[in-house]
Amino acid sequence: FLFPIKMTSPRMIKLTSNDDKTFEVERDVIKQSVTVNTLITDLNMDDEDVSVENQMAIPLPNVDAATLEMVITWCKQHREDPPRNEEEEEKKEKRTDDIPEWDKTFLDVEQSVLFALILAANYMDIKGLLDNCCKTVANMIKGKTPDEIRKHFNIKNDFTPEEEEQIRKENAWCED
Amino acid sequence: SLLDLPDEIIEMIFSHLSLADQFRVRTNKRLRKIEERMEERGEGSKEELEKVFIVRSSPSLFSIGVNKDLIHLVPFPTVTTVLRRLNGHIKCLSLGIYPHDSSLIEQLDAVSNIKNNDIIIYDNLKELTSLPPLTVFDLAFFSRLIKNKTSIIICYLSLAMTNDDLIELNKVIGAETGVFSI
Repeated sequence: FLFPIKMTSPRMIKLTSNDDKTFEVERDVIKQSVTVNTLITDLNMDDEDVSVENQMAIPLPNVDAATLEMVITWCKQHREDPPRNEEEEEKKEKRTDDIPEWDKTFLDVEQSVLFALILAANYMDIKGLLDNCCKTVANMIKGKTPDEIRKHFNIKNDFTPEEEEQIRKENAWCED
Repeated sequence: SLLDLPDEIIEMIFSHLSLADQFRVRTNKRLRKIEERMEERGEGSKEELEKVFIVRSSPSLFSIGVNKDLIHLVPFPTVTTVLRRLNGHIKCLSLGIYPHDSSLIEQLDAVSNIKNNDIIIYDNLKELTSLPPLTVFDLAFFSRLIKNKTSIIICYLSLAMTNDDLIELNKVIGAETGVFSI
């Protein structure tokens, strides 16, 4: 006897960016966003037998389309990652040399794009993405002099001459 | 700009920096405030420094060495600033004693399980070249202290260090200070 096998397509979720672009993303992919996950659960969207066409889109008012597209790409890449244990992560030694190669390439973007990703990851509560973005920025800071840091990140030096002198003295031990 | 990010995210970024980089990133009033707030909460650098040593090289200057590659002469106020930041958030300090005999240091490491303690040993010297290295007696003394305490400051031979200096150090670190001479 042959039984017909019902092929079910993966459950899709609709997300709308703040510039009104809607993305369809697999439920399993977007589960990495605690914010979206909580909304889906609270709105009982997992239980509804509603086709994606008739489904309500989840609005993400703090994320633009270009950034959301990148977030979704990152989530797809990391869909098989084991769930993060935040307590364990806190205990770990802080390192920045453990960013996966794929992420290094993915995050090798202009600062404005990287910062937009950081804000999106923070808003959508995607810890892994946020962590790797922060490490990437930390790596940009490491080993630079204060002047190089200012130049690299377009930071205005608003110290008074007295404050600057104080900082200079305090930094003397770590200056080359 | 980095300044477009909220404080909480800048703190996340700073938490990945080494002690030296946390000093250098104070490039602006807001960033300085964020960094110092983290320090006050004890959320500064969590890097594991293999070796920190601070020695008095002259009556007014100290040498500070971190992980062997940063050795600088600084005045006393800078020493206290550095110590304030080292205190409580450096997981592991091994010790620097100068002048020293490397075999004695190795023995000390072996007997004291030093990697599990927060230890800074001050080797305060009047004239670097005229002082003898640690004796076996000193080694035993250090070892006993290290085994019994989790955080120790030892001021070692204190001719160039004044009582005021010691009081200031105690105030900054809030740890025990032993003063003895050989």
